[in-house]
Amino acid sequence: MGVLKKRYGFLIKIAALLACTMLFWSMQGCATIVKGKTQEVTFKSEPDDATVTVTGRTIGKTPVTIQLDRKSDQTVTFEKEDYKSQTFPLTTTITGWFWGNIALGGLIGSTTDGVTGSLHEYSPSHFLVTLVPTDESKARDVKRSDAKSFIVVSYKSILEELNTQPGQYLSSLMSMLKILPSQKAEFIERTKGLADIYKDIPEFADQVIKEYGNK
Amino acid sequence: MSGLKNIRFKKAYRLWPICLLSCLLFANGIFAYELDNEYLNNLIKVSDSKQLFKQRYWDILLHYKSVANGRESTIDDPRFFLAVDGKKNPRAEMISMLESLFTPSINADNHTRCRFPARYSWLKEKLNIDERKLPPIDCKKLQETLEKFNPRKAVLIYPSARLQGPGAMFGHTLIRIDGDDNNYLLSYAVNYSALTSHNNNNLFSYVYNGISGGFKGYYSLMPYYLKIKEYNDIEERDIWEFQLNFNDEEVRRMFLHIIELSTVYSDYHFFGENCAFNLLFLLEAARPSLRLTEPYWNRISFWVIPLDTIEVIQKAGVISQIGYRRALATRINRYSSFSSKKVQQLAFDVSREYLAPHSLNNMVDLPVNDKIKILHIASLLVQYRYSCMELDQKEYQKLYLDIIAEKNKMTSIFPEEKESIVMPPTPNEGHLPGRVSLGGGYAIDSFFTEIGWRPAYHDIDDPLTGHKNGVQLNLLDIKGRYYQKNNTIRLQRLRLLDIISLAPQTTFFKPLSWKLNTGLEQQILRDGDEHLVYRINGGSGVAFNNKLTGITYGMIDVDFIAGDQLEKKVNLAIGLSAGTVKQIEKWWHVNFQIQWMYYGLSEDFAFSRGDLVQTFRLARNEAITLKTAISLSPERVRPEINITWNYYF
Repeated sequence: MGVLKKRYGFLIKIAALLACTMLFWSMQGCATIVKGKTQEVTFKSEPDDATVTVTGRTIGKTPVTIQLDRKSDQTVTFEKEDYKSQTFPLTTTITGWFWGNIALGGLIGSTTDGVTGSLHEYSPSHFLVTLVPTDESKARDVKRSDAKSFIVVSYKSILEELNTQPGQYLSSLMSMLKILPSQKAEFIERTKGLADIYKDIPEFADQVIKEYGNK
Repeated sequence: MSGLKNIRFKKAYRLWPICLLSCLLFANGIFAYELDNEYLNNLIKVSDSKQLFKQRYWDILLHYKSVANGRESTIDDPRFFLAVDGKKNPRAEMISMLESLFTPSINADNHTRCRFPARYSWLKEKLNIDERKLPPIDCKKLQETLEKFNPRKAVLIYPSARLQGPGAMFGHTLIRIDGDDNNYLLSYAVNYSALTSHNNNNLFSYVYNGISGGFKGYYSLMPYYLKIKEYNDIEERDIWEFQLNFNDEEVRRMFLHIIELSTVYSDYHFFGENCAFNLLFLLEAARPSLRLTEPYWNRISFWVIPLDTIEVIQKAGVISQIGYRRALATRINRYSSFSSKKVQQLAFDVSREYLAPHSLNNMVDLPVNDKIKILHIASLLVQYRYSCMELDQKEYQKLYLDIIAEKNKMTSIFPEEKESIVMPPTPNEGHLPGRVSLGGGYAIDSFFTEIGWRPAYHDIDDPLTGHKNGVQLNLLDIKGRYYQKNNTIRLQRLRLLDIISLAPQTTFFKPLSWKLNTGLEQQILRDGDEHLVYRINGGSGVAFNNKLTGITYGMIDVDFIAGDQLEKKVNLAIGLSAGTVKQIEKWWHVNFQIQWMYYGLSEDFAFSRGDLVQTFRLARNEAITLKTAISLSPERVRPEINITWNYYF
């Protein structure tokens, strides 16, 4: 047995390390594993021209693309005159998402009036923040940013329904844009056309709202 | 920046006459108000005589619970109380509330009437308060909020459990507030969750704060479509929607209370005052005759999990209808289960761009129906890749539209239309999370009697209905035995945590399976006898699902044990385990496992065992398990047979 111990002692340690590593990996979700110390990140906002500050360091105005250190304990703040300043944590979580969870955080403790800004990752490392006007009379702006958020977040499902069978997502979008049921077929055709032309999701959302949002 | 400030100042300067006029007009309204002290004192007197501060609805709205020396609120934020000692003094809080109603305020939206509309509404009804005696307050923001949300219906949402993350292991509950129309995606969901700030990134801090109440818990509102994306698409969790039979007035009452809870915190306890528990207050605020929170105050087990919430509201008769929203991964698995391996592989190739969608046309031997299936599954897989951020939006859009265009050439029918959506058993059809067990058996040379207690949640050997096959999560699993031969009682097992996740590999998904358990346990050591040791056991490997053997798996195991009987007090083993979990009938499933371990850190020896466990479901909360096991250590072969009756509560 002593010989076995000598022979297998090292093997046991290696195997233990391997098993622990496998255990760690198996607990990851569908998160993309990112490599390197920095990451290229694009921030857009609705409306544009918001000042972006990462942990106290101003990095520019939206839309902006920057290299960010991939470290925890960072916050990103968006500021624009006449709009509420918004801060989101950029953080890893034990569920394994590095950036993805940003869209899920930041709203706790928000007001109950439903007018809350949010940050969505609509493409890898591409984020859209919707800003909330400080002047509550700007309800039209709020409706516009609500519609834009909905389109950007639900783009996958909207595209699916446009190309397969209309369902809850198109029905909700029509309701937001105040499109009558009788205009449904025409709306679907035109929106499909817009999706073909405008490949950038926030841009597609802008065009849909521009086309129908004034009603 | 100084220029900007200057512009702002000039703009503000031009506005001063308007400001002055507004202030004068407003001040006129405020100061014209004269407090009717006599009326206020009379209200306080009446509220005292009616003992309103002892009434149940006051307890509900202030979240009071009975404690040894009176009552205490579970809300910890001082801003929730108007009296200094309001947290512990319901009467003082009521008096302060009444006094505050008569206090004029410059900021109407922050006035007590607007800030605590559910309390005001109830007091107004109970005391018949004459609004003309109160200062003129226009709750503009409150009215706008009510108009925006138009709360008419309430739905309890249950995203199913997910092992990859401690916050989701037991599932989650939230409440969706619906308006008049059927666009539920645009409804808002009320969520109670811990604010785990970015300063709490390490696991130990997270667990410690989660258990000890170190996090602040907040109620928040979020559009439902965001929650669907989070649960269905990103976390691959199916969502159950339990429609509640509340009427308009009840939903309105609940919503007014939600407004009161806005931005106030209470200490979040992962096991007790968590999402599952705190939502019960909202249901009680809607319908005070429901007594949902009280049973938990003095319960033996100190935790509440989302399944409890569902059980409680089901018993209360509040559920009127159940809906089911499949995760994208569930749709893929479900639809591909009707397809051959070849179809699945081709769909995978198309989704990975190894095969262009139009090249299916060249496969003349492939039936058109199969081509439609391939393209449909591929379109779902591409969506999945996009949800996981594997594809950027442009790649996704191009690939998805190419696939759909090719499919539309073959048929205009949406393939999933043909498949009837099979709703799996609802979570509330499964057994309850607590378990007591009583059994007996024979081991090596003695009969024994065994009793067990496990407060939560699901064991791979528990009945499968309503639970996912291959998943186990036990918290605190205790078993004790009495051996007749030696007339001894001993602790057989005290597992603190015991997790198994058998995630079958498919053509599309390649998850690893894993397990982790820790606690005190009788372990057979080199001498062939059982000894109580502390154990940490983990493993990882792969699992496959097939019709014949069910979920079949193999893992590399690591085992750490510590105990006085060991030569150097500790030992470490590496080993292999394999097994299969197969549901034979709805009421009968089998779990077979073999394990080989080699301990080599101090004293070295090999140990192996085989287990065959059969579970027979008798009723929703009752089952019999029959276990046969054999273990081989250097000194001894040790057979064991055990039959147990399990009751779930």
